[in-house]
Amino acid sequence: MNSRYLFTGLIIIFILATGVFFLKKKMPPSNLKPSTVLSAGEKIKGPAEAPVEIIEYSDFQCPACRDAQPVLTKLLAEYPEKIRIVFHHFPLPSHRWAAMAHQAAECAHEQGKFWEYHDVLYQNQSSWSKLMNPAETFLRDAGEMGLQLDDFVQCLSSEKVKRRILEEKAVGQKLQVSSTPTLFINGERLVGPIELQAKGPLILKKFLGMEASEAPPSQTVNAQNPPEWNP
Amino acid sequence: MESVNEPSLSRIPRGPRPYRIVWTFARIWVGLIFFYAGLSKLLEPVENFRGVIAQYQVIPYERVGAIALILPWIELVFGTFLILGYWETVSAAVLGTVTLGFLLILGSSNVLLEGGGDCGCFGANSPIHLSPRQVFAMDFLNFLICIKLYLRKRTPWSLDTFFRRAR
Repeated sequence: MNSRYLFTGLIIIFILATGVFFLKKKMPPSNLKPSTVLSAGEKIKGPAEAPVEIIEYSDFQCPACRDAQPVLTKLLAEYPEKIRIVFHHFPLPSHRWAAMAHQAAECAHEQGKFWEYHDVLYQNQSSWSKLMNPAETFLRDAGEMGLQLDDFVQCLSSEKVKRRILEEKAVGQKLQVSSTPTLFINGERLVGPIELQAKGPLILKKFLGMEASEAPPSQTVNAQNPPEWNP
Repeated sequence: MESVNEPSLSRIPRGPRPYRIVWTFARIWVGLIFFYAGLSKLLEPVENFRGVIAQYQVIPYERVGAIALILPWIELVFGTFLILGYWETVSAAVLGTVTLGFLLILGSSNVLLEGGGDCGCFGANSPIHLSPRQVFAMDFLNFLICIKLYLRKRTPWSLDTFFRRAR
């Protein structure tokens, strides 16, 4: 290989590296700082004054998001006074019923039962996501939960609620959230249930000032549901 | 790899013109795919790609972080080399190996059977979103092109040909 040939290759690599460096500098920041003031409309589980905040960008029809729920529940059970989970809508267009499911969950939130509805949606995900139209299932679940059905039905077609969901998603997109589930533990990004299971406890311990011990991800999380991307 | 120092007219691409054009376009096609895949991943937070690789659970978890850092650069650099026709045989061999790895990962996971979702191949904010089945078919085609490019050694309108002629 002569020197001119080699030099050409190095020039190409240099141009590429410089280009990536400058393009990356133009990208918006990808870290999410934990909120100091939570807005009234936030969907929060855990104490508001908890030192660790987990912000979850999730899609109700995404299997990987469903797989992340037991891990989050376990973390919350282990550190009940130290964690608050904040749910942010991130419905993916590739999921046919995601928009409707998120609207239903937001309507449940209006009646103060977001987390109950959230749990039911994930528990029954594999059945309602295959239906021709899951609207009846969503209504039945709302009824069984004791929600006011008239208000719930009205809310399901509310443009205001739809806008609120999309605004929440837009904030995630600005933070380069692209796949679900994406979680920010006090600002540190984790993507997918495997990463959450492997690194979540370590990050938590770091923020809680506890000694962290390495733990590879166990097989409790379903392996084969990759995080899904936002077109 | 062949040395560019050896002057030989037989090394300058030959064969019927349509074939030469087809293989040149095939080379640029594979190069563009990898260039775009690499760049789109590099412009996103590395955690996004790391999470996708981890979720396939084919690669040992301890290596996922390093792969998420290195692989996009390999795609970008060798994709560019292939577009420009620089170090063609090596670039085709490297990208062919990477493609074979993708085929094995996709083939050994359930996502191919389930068929849903997105492969995560082009990063998040990209307008290109392919299902695992679509990307498996594309990877298979790219793998065959890489083998042919490796065996063919050189295509016209490439830096390799330019350097050979310039000697």
